[in-house]
Amino acid sequence: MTMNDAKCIDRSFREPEVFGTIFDRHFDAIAGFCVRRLGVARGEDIAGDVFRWAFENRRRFDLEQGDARPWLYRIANNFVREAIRSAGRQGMAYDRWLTREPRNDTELAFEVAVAIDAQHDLSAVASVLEMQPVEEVETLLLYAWERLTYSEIAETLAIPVGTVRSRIHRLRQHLNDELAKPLAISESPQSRLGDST
Amino acid sequence: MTRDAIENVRLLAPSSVRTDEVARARQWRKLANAMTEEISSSCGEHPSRRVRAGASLRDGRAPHRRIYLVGAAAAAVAAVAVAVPLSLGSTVPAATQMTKATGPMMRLASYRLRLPDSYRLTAATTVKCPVPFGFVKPGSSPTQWVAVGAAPTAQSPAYASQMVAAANAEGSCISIVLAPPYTPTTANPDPDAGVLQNTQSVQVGSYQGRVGTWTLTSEPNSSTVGTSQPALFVEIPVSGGQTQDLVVTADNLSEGALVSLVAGGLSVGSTTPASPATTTPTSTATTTATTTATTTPTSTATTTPTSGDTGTGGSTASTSTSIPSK
Repeated sequence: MTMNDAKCIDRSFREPEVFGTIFDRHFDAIAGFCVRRLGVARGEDIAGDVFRWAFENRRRFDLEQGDARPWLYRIANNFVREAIRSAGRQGMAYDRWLTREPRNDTELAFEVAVAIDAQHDLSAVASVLEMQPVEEVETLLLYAWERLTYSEIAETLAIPVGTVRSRIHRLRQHLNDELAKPLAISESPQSRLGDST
Repeated sequence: MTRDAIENVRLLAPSSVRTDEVARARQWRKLANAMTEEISSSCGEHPSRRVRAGASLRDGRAPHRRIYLVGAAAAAVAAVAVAVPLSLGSTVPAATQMTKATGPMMRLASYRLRLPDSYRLTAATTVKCPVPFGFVKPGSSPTQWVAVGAAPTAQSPAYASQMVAAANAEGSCISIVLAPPYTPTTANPDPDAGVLQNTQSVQVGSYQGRVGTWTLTSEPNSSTVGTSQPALFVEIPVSGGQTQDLVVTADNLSEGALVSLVAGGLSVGSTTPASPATTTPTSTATTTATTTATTTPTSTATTTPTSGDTGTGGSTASTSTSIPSK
């Protein structure tokens, strides 16, 4: 029988190595979150720090919560936020958005097919997000990129579910409004967001 | 067609974010470090001797360890047969009592491995515990497990009972085996390089070691992979300038967890040396696990070997192990 996260963490107080199970279960998700926000090198490094911190502070985990994922996301989000803050500008998190490489042929074909309006759309989305409060962007990214549920996001960010819902609704509305505007790109998104490096 | 804003946001996500195994292992070591430090600190070790499992990978050091896979099994097993009874359920305290690991103790020669509470000692030949080193598992099929990379002659007689194994409540298995001592040479510092895959040098307490993946096939030269599991070679200096490997395998632990577990629970001492008269090897160590850590199993190591194979060169792995002074 597989132990849930809470039981693993509880047992890790007596047998620390059991915490390795938490790593095995959630590293990919947490690393993905960090890498998407910070880039590969920094993101992977932060992901490792997340698990080490979580282990060293596992008494803070609420054992009533069966799933450790929201808790780990919360830790990761704090690490990411700090990394972005220390980088001096919020834009660090967005630099890589528009310079990604195609994942495979299918995706490449898809991207080519939508290339005409994609530039406008993505540019608009990126520029809108850059102007939003970081808390709201974090909420949206947890939903859109990490595909967390509203309740998981609420747990992760320690905010009410209603707040999550309203933030996402507001941003979505804002983005849709931007996307509805006529195509008029006078500069590339990269030039506004800076180099991806 | 207009995409929803959320879809556009998703398209902004950078691709290729999946971390590879190397990166994963690198980050795992941070956690393994923390876990091992906690285990070590709970043991009252001096900080300078604290274990730095996983993260203490040492670059540039040629691991000089070898495993005699050609006849090694026989030697190792015979050594165990001569020197070590299966002291399952023994209540003899370890030389180094751990405060965290308070479970049963695996014993092999003068080596002891204290396990976490959740483990229960069991015979080495349970199905769940495929025995490495080409040991034969009598009366069962497959009858042999041979490490990929081992020489074809790494077959050995029925020595499965010389293994010590422990199965925990979730069905995972840890087994330990003692390899024959060897003298590292410049020309041949690492003869067993082909046995472990993706090896990394680690510090296991005060010992050097190497951890990697151990892939076993059901028969020599077979392409059918029977099982693949982490294995840790703990390199222990013995008398005469030789080195002896204590090989610990686990089928359901990550490599880091295995290192942590061994680092926190391994001790070497000269207490209760085995009497050769009591170490008759067995051939049918198929008893089930004991139910508690302190309950003596009822039927392990009690039968006379049927094969008559007491090993060749087995006396090399005697109880002459010394505690390293590193």
